[in-house]
Amino acid sequence: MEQLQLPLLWAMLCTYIASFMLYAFSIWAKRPQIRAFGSQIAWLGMVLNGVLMVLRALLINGIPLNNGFEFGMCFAFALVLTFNIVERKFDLAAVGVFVLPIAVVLSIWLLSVDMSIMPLMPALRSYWLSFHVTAAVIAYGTFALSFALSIAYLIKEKSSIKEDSLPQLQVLDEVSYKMIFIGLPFLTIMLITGAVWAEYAWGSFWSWDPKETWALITWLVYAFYLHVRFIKGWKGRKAALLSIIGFAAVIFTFIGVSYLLPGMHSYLAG
Amino acid sequence: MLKFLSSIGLALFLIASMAGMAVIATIVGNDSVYTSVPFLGLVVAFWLNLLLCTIKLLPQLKIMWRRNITDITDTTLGYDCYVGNEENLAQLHKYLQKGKYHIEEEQKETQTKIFAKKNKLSLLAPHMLHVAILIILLGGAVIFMTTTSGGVFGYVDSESNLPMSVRQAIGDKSAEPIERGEKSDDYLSVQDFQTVYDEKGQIDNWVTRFDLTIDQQQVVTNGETKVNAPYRYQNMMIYQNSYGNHYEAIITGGEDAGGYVLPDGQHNFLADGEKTLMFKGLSDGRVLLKVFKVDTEGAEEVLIGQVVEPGDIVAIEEGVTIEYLRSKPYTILEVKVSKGSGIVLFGFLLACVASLLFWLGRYREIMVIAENEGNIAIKVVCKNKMVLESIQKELDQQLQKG
Ligand code: HEM
Repeated sequence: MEQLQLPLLWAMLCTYIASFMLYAFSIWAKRPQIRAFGSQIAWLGMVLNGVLMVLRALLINGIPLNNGFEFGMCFAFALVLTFNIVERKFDLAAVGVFVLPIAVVLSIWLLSVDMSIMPLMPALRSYWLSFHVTAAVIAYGTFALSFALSIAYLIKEKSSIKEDSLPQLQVLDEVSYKMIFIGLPFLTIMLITGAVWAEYAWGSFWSWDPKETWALITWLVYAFYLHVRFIKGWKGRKAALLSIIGFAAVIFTFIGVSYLLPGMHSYLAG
Repeated sequence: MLKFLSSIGLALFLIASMAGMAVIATIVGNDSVYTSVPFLGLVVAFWLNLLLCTIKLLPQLKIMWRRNITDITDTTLGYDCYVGNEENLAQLHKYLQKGKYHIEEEQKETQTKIFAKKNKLSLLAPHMLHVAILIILLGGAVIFMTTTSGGVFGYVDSESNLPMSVRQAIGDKSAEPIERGEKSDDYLSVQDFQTVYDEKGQIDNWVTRFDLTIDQQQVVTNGETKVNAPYRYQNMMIYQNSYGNHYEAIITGGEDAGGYVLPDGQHNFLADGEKTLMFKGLSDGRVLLKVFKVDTEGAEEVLIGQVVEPGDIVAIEEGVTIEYLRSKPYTILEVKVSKGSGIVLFGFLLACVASLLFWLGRYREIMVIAENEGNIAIKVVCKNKMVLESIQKELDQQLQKG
C-alpha cells in the first residue's frame, strides 16, 4: 500500500493544477461559467488529498500528523476544504486562481520530502502532538486563504481595468479578516497545546526554540492585524499587506525554520 | 500618562517590537536576547499595558453585558423602516426565534418594543483572552524566577543524590556540598530501568522506577517516570532524560590490572598506548568486546572482536586477561523544582475557553420599535460590518420594506 502514496500524490497535484488552470482560464476568457467546473475539480483534488490522508493514516495506524510530509498533506487539504466552503458561502469562486497555486506548490513540495514511514521517537508519541498539529493545520489553512484573498485584493485594486471577474474589494477584504479571526484562536490553541506537551516531554513550557519562537512571531503578527483592524480601522491595502506578512511568517515557521535554523523541531524537515 | 500606558498605540508598538526582536534573535541564533534587559523590559511594559487596558475596558464591557430593552432609544438614527402589519411582526418573531436570539418584549399602549440579542458570551472573549495572557505571563515570570533543575545519574539498584541546587530549592537546610560517593539526605534509588517496545518492535518509551527519599524520609515508593509522563512530587518534577549502559570488567596481569567500569562504544587506551579496548552493546542486547591496535596516525586494526557473556574471560595479550562481569544499565533523570506551572496552566485553560467563545460568533443586537398604527423600525447593532450587513440583508428579504 505504501507504493500507492506517490501515484495518489501525483493525481492530487495534477487535479489541483487542472483546477487552477480552469479558474485562470475563466478569468482570462471572461467566462465565469467555467469557474463552476474549476470548483468541481478542486473538490475532486480535495477528495484525492483526503484519500491520501486516509491511506497514510492506515499505513501508520494513527493520525497522519507526525512529520513534514503528513503535515503538508493535511495543510493542503485544510486550505482547499476551507476555500471550498467559503467560496460557496461568499461567492468567491474566482479567488480559486490564487488559492489553488498554494495547494499546487504544497503538493510539489510534498513530492520533494521523504514520505517513508519511520518509527516515531518516544517524545512524539503523545496525544498532545495530535491536538497541537491539528490546531496548526486549521489555523494555517485559514491563514493561507486569507493570504490568497489579500493577493486578490491587491491585484484587483492595482489593475487599471478593475478586473471585474474578481469579487468586490470589500468582500475580499472582509472575508480575509474573517479567516484571520477564525484562525487566530486555533493558533492560540496550537501554541498552548505545544507548550503543555513540551512541559511534559522536555520539562519546560517554552524554550525559545526557533520554530516555537516563529510560531509566536506569527501569533503576534496576526494579533497586531486584529487590533489595527478592529480598533484603528485599518482596512483594504494595509490589512492585506499585514495578512501577507502573517502568511510569510507561517511559511517560514513551517518550512524555513526547519531548513534554515537549527532546533528541537527540526525533525519536521522530514 | 495612564492614558498612554493603557493605549492601543503603545500595545501595537510593543507587539511589533517584541516580534522584531524575536525575528532578529532567531536569525542571529542568539538565545540570550530573550533574557536580556531590553526584551524583558518590553515584556514587562506589554504586561502593564495589557493590564491597564483590560481594566479600562471593564466599564464598557459591563455596559454591553447589561444592555436590555431599556436601552432602546426612540431616535430614528440607524433604524430601518418596515411595513407595520401583523404579518411582518410575526415574520420578525419567527426570524428572531429561528436565529435563537434572546428576546425581551414590552407592550405599551401605542407601541411594542423588542430587544433581541445573541452570542452575549462572546463579548467576554477578548477580555478573557487578555486576562489569560496576563496570567500566563505572570506564571511564566514565577517559573523563570523559581526554577532549579539538575540531572541525576543512577545505576539500577543504586542510590543517587539529588543535585545540590534542587536540595536547596526543596528547603533542605542541611543541604551542603557532599563528597563524591557520600550519601546526602535527599536521594533517588533507581529500582529499575526498562526500554519498552511497541507491537512492531520499535522503541515506545523508556521507563525508570525509583524510590525517593527526602530529608531521610522515603516519600515516594516505586514512582515511575517515562518520556511524556514525568513523575510529580509536590513542586518537583522528575523527567526521563537519557539512558545507557556501562560495562564492568576486571583486568588481570600487566600494568592495567584492576577493576573498571567502561562506557558504551568508547575506545579506552591500555597502558601500552598502542591498544584500545571497547565494549559495545548490540541492538539485540548482546555485548561485544573489541580490542584494537591503533597506530600513530590513528588507523585502527581489530585484534579481537567477540560477543561476551558475564563471567567470560578473554586474553587480550600475553599474560593479560579481561573478565567481563556485567552490564550496568543507568538512567539519567532530570529533576526540576519550580513554582508557577499551575498559574500558567490555569491561564492556558482560560485562553482555550476564550478561543471557544470567539467561535460562538459576534455579539449582535436587534432593536425594534413597532408603532401600533405605523411602521416597524428596526436597528441592528454589531461590531462586525459583514455580520451587520448580512442581518440587514436577511431582514430585507424576509420583511416587507416600508
Ligand atoms: C498579543 C496579545 C494580544 C492578543 C492575542 C489579543 C487578542 C485580541 C483579540 C482576538 C481581540 C478581538 C479582536 C476582534 O474582535 O477582531 C482583541 C480585542 C481587543 N484588544 Fe487585544 N490582544 C492582545 C493584546 C492587547 C493589548 C496589549 C491591548 C491593549 C493595550 C489590547 C486591547 C484590545 C482591545 C481594546 C480590544 C477590543 C475589545 C472590544 O472592544 O471588544 N489587546 N484582542
